[in-house]
Amino acid sequence: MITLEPGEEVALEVRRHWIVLVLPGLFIGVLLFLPIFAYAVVSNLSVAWELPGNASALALYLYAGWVLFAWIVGFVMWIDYYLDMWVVTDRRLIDVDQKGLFHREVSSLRFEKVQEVTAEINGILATYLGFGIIRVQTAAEETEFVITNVSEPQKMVDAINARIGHVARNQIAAAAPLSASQP
Amino acid sequence: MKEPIVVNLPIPASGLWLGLLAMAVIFTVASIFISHHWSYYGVSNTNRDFATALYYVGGIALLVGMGLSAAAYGA
Repeated sequence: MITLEPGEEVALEVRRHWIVLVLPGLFIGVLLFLPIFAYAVVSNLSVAWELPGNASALALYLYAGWVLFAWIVGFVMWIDYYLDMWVVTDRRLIDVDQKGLFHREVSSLRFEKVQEVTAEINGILATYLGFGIIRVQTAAEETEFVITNVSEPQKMVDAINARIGHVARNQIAAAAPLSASQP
Repeated sequence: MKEPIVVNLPIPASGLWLGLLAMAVIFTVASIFISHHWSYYGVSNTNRDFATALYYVGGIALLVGMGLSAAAYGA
């Protein structure tokens, strides 16, 4: 759960591109296929199984248990993907880093501190599928937010720039009466 | 002709029921953690409803499948 400040509004929520789910998806696919492969190999061996029950029922039982295990792992991976996100509010950029079920880091960067925001789309796949890297440079040179594999990076950069402009205009407007009142 | 290798696996039907019980416990514990994350960390309502339905229907179907297989094994 992200705690917003009073009056703060969410402008945009961005997640990683679905391409990052391809590798975990392949992993789950291999998990599901592995017992079928093992069964095919064992079937070709000259092995006589002596069981007190039905061998096919046992094979189905073990496979259903294995699929259930993969099912749970798959959902945990999806949670990891879904809860790993960036939130652009009207005041700051919030980075929620979900690492598995029990490790979560939330950091935020106020727009007053942002100096430069750049989007980088590198490669054929990134160009056609629309994902890339966003770099947010702050006034302190060593501090840089790097967001990788983000979906539609330009849209997010535009949203951040619009908010930075808004915050800057508000700061100028707030400072103007003070400077006018000074002799 | 080559003699087949005889593999004796004295797995009783009760062992399969115990295994099913263990998987049901694992599924329940995982469900508690997963549901907590969905509701507490901001999964949107539409996605949450769909994911919850899919997770429980799939998971319970697999547990039922294990139960039917265990029954068929012991029959």
